[in-house]
Amino acid sequence: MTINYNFAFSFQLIPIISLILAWCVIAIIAYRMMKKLQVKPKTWKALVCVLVGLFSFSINFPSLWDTPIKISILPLGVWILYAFLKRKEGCWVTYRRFAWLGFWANFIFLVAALIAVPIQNATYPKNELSTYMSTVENASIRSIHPSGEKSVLDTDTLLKQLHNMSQEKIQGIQWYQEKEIRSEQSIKRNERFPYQLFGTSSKWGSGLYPIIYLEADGKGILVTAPQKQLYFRSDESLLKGEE
Amino acid sequence: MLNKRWVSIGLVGVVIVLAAAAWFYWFDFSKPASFPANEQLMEKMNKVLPTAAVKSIQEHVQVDERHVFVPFVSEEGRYGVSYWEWKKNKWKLLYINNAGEPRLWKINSNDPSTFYIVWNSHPGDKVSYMKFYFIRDRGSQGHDGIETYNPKIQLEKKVTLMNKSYGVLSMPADWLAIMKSLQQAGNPNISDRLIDSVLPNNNNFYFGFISFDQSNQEAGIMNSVNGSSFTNGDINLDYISILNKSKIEEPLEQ
Repeated sequence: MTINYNFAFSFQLIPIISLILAWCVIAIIAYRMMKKLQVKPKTWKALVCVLVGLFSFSINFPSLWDTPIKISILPLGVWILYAFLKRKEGCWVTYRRFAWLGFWANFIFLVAALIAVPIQNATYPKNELSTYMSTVENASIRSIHPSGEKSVLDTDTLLKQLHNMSQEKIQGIQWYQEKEIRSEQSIKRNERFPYQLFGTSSKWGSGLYPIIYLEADGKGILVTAPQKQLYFRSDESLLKGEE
Repeated sequence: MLNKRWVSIGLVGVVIVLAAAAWFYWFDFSKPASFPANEQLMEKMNKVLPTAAVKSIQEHVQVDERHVFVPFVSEEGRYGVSYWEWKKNKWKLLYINNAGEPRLWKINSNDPSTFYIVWNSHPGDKVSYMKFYFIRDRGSQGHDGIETYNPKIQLEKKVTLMNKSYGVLSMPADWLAIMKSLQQAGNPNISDRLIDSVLPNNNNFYFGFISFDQSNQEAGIMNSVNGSSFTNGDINLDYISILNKSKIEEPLEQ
């Protein structure tokens, strides 16, 4: 038995809020249905019907955003409930609306997710460094390549520059092909980004754990997030004791 | 009537769960007994892998509370390795090999802080010191006008074999910090994505080593490879690539 205690929980504020709101809407609709009914159904049974009703066959459409659009087509859960409840007198008539609510709830979730996208993008702009590096007071660097000399991060300059750095194009292919001298004995080559930045945290609620590299001249920052890589340049070096 | 029945079913359920928990605790979390004596170890090793022909045991290297590395010397003068774990209330031989080229022992493969590099270098190979490497290759991709780049990671740890043919190396702090950051970043934030990550894989790091003799020349390790081995349990042992200096990057001279 191995216990995976290294499970990284990524807390994403906006999706969680939108999910809670969607459930609230579903609860309100269910409550109103209950009120209207003459024969009062059991609450827990209605709840089970909603949950089973959620089960559906769906098609995923890729979208321009990170969240795929998932459209439910076949109400599998509703059919299952029908198969179970049709034999009992009056049962299906009472509970079918809750099963269908479960099915339509898929669309409530979809709408909530689509509304969350622009809010997410406004709260955590994808092209801004501050989304990926919000708290930097405890930042430090570690060398990841022998060409990274023993330098120290200048946290004050980083704090000053954080909001002034300009985004630039990643020249990945060019950087990959930088100068190297190969011989049978060794490869002589410098790494363009020989430092990794530690101790920073992304904006609260973004759920991001980006990997951040610092350029050899101390002026460039390469941010690697799961979906995106960004490159920023500052006017001043973020390293101490560098020209 | 119905209530009483439910109560008794519930009680029985609770008792079963508690008994199962106690059972698992007894098996997997009990405090390990003292490690067996050499005679018992050798008996077990020779039974599991007769070709090992263990003659003498060099040491019991306690890796953590429930894991022990036992290097040994065979009748034919081979230098071998064996890996032991406290499991199911006894000390279990997980793996034995009569050659001791370095391997990566992942005690919990999800937690890099439980990774250890383990070796038993044959004195005939005349290895004076080894350099271990933690490497991720440089990578770049470009499509639709968007380029990405992964810097090369290459970190080195030198280990000198001081009168001891064997050793256990825990992950250096820098390696650990980098591995943990890669692991954390690798966890997708949004479940059921359709689009695969546009970035080259971050996590394809690996370990390697080079052996050196006293005159700082690369040493062949003919006597420490190609052993016969036996896996006797659940163990995660990774190969460590044999590298040479022509694959290791050095800074350009200014």
